[in-house]
Amino acid sequence: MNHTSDSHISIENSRQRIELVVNGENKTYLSPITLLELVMRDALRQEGTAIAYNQSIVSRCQWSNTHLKDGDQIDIFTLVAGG
Amino acid sequence: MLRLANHHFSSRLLTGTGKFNSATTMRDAIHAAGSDLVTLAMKRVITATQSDDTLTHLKKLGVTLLPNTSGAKTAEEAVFAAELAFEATGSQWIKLEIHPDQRYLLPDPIETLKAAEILVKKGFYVLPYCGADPVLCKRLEEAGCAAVMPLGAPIGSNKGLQTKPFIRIIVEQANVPVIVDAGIGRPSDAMAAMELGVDAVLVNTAIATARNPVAMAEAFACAVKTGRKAFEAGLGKSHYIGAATSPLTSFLES
Repeated sequence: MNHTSDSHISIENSRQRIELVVNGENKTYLSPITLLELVMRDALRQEGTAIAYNQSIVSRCQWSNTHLKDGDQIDIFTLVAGG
Repeated sequence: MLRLANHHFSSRLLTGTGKFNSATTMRDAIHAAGSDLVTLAMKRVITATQSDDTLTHLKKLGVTLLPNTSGAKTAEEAVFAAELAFEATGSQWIKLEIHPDQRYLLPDPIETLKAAEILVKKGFYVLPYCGADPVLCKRLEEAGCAAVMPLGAPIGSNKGLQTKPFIRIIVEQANVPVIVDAGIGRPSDAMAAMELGVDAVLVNTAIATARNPVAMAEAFACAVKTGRKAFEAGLGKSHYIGAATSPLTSFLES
């Protein structure tokens, strides 16, 4: 799935496309992008959410300081009903 | 009053949030159950629509969150799941469950003990779902678990207290609270467990899949209270032969 659009790219043609593996799926984003921007862009709820960045858990306060690079692996988890 | 890791809980009925038809029914059922320790799970998400409202409702109810490690097949995965849950909830409570077998969902004792030892050292209050094995429960207690949670029957089976003789031994030997988890299908199962002297029961499927989950949650709450009261009152002894409750004087024959 490609999250960039042509109009977006033409406006920001100085930005580089990077491939990220988000929950096992390859996705293209425009760099620079932080973990927080990725969460906001995909409209994911922040409350009750935890993120592993290249298999290490990143605390919420670090999301905005975590700059994503090509090939990075991001796993996003959330709380759901369960017994 | 249930005491776990120096925290007090007013209810001895823990409930799960899975399998309800709607989040509002789940909320109403937990309210009716009076539970103040409630389980939930963690799952990978890709889009916002895959989130549910469970957390929002639980926060409004003001209950303590007990995230589980469901989905973990090894100790390593369970520790990772617990750390994710801590990040997501800020809760040190963790229901440790490792069941690699998808058919019976029986807990792996070796991996569970391994994970418990690690999680206790990391500062979690560990509540391990385990087989009704008195020796394993002792080992989990020694590892520093806040309680032990032996199963009554396989998860979601509603088969009741199939492990009763072993639960009795676990209760006799344990120095930490015993919570019967999994398999409790009817309020009478919960009551029987409480009469044995277990400290609490955890119920999910039996409430969530009842025709009227809210009414069933109330029925479970009553059963748990009654069972506890009976245990504290001290059950009378049972005998194989009759023991008369009235004088056996043959007064008609004088």
